[in-house]
Amino acid sequence: MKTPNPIDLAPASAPEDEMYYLNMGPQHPSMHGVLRLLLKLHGEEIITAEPVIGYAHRAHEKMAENRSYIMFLPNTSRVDYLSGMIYNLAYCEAMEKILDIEVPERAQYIRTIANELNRISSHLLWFGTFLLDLGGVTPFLYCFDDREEILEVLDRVTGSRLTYSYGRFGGVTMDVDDAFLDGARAVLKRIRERIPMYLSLVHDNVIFRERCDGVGVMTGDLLRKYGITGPPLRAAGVAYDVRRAEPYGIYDRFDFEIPTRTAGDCMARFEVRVDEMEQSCRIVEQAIEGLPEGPIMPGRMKKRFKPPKGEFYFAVESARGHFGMYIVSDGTDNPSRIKLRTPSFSNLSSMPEVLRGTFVADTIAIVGSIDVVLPEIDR
Amino acid sequence: MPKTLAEMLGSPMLAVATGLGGVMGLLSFNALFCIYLERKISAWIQRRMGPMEVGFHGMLQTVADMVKLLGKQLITPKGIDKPLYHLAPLVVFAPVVAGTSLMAFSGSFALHHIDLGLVLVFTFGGFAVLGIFMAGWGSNNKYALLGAMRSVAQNISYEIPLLLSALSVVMLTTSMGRTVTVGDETVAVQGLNLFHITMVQMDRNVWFIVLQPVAAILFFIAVLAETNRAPFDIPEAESELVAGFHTEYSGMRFALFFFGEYSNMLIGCMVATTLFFGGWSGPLLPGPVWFFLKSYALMAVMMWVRWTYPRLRFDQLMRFCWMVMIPLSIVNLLVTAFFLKVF
Amino acid sequence: MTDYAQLVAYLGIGVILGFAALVVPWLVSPRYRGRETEQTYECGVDTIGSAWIRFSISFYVFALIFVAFEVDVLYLFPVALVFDEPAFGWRAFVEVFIFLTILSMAILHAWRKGVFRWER
Repeated sequence: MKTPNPIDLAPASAPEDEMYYLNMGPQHPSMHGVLRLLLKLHGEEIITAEPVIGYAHRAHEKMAENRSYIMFLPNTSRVDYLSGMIYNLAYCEAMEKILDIEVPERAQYIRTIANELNRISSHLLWFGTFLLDLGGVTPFLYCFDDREEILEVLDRVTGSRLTYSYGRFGGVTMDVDDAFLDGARAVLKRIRERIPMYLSLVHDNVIFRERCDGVGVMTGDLLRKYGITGPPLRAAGVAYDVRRAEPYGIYDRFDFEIPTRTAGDCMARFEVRVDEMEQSCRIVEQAIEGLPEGPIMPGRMKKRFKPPKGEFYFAVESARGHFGMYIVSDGTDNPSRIKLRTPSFSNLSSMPEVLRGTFVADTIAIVGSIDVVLPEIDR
Repeated sequence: MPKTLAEMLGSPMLAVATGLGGVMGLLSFNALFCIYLERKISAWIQRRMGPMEVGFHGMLQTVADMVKLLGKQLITPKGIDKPLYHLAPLVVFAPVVAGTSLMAFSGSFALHHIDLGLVLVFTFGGFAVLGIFMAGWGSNNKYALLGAMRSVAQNISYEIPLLLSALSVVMLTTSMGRTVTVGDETVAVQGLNLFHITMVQMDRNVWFIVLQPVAAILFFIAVLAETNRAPFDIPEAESELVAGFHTEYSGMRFALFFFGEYSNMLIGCMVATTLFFGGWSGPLLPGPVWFFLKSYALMAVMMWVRWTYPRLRFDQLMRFCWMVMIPLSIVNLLVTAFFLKVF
Repeated sequence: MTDYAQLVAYLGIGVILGFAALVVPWLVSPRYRGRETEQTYECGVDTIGSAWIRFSISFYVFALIFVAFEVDVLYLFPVALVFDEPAFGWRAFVEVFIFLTILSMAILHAWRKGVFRWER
């Protein structure tokens, strides 16, 4: 029989007067904007964790009800400012499906390039901030350096760096030129050269491994319970990617893999994202190769769109997971309701369960590793 | 033997006054220079320029920051423990002045003649923990409290390998020679006297890092932890605890903590230089130049480490200390003792 | 004035200098007061409960082992000073060995009890 431990360390039923509440956020260096975690702690150990959201609520869904379909277009990229392009183009594709608009080939390819470049830039930013959360400041600046290149390339054709309104119902606003394609190729070359360096600097680092291996495991039932998607899901061994599961746009034409890991911990999520950057590079490469000549819009763009009455759902794979748009139309040119199913929200909602029993330092690592974007959660 | 300032000036009062001026000058310069160096080194590591605007290559940036800190309001939050809160910066600040005065800068002059130098340096170093805990508890802030708790646990744990690795050097010093000849003078070696430790190394033409490589590495790691430097900077981990124990301190009060931290870094590096890198010994250049060159080289390594590694988690940090550093330092001490008896 | 007295003087004047450094901002800095300014910082929201609580015992255990250790290590300093005295011979080594072995027991005990693994 095992003798009871005389040095009783932080028992599960710690006395109530040894516990205390700690507000982590909204004004906290590593809460990715304005997330507030209400932690109940016993020493360093977390007893309960409760995400408090709503500090960046801007009523995007309500705005949609008071605007015409085309006026809602700029809002979409502001929902998730890190992968604004993906959201913006997703909205366009949803509307094209509803309105039955044929998108020219060239526009499809350009959209794919822009989408994937945006995905890389989003993952790069995540990479930097994740390391920042773990206390390594230097990778942050390296990643921003690389991200800057991507933003410059996108800026060239979209005219903006963060909140792109590049898509239109039926195509894109501006055609790409050779300089853009050269820039995109240069970006790919650069990212490909840098990823091995990042891996050797960060991934092989003993302290980084200690901080990530086996921390914040999200597997099995938990994934289903909270509807976790994106890299956290793939890190747990489920090869679900909307680009492959329900191909949209022209993703069925490209050859790419869906990277997965089985551990479901911070390290697995890290590896999945790094691999995804590589896969995105492959897609962009193929898209540049196959870019056809032709128009970028099906014709003159109309000012008013009146989709048929009904309810529509359209999903894409954003940098953070399954992003869905649920559009309810009443037949007028104003949407009756647009509901955004954002991946960060579902991923974050699993936190109370994942964080229980971890340490304060792990909280930062875990919340960082699921890559939440607060404006997307609050909308 | 180095002459003390009191012997040179003839009056102890005058000696304290000049010595204090010198020490304060050194520490102030150190703080300003180190912040500049830290910014520049981090900038080089991160492929950017660092401060460039104020003065030549941003040299006066830290001076400007200092002036800014002087003009900042000293915000005193409500609900604090007043005595603890107000005393804490001083408890961190004052011992570094005394600690620096013990250093063996040069073979020709000293501020004091104290045979217990090494022990006293560690004693003054220990004050920092006290100040940090006073700040953390006195602030009545949970981030500060967590930071202070971590800091105390970390500092006391790493104090042990620090002392044990220093101990093996002391053992070595006393065993390598009971006397050492400087010029035409023969002095009995005192193992805890920082000057004597350097002299023995000079006399035997060997740096103790050669004879005690394990102790040197352990000592350096322990100094990193003692001064709360990354990857051991968990007491003030900005991504977790905002600013840790000094969350509630602003303006000049915060500057005193900062000053104390950088001074403790310098003291740690100077002690490491004395123990393992032959102190002021070196060819051509005068002693103090060598001494500071070596100390600042170590300091640069500390900064290099800071901007390269992520931060350890708290329990890993403690585990590393108790399960790796302390057993290693005990074994190292025993091996040293064994070989001293064999030879 | 002995060297030790000088050292105490350094310590004392250090405290005074620290105070002096606070005089300048006291003279020149603004003195705004208000509820928000004097609020305890906790990420911009009101704190829940006091920070002065009984804190987790895990930290306390480390402090206990430390006290045992630190005092014993200090005893070793005088030993180190006379360790090579020929009169002691191998006896010195054996005694240091026994001393450190007993000291190591503290670590081994805590190790086995899972203190370093932060077990619950």
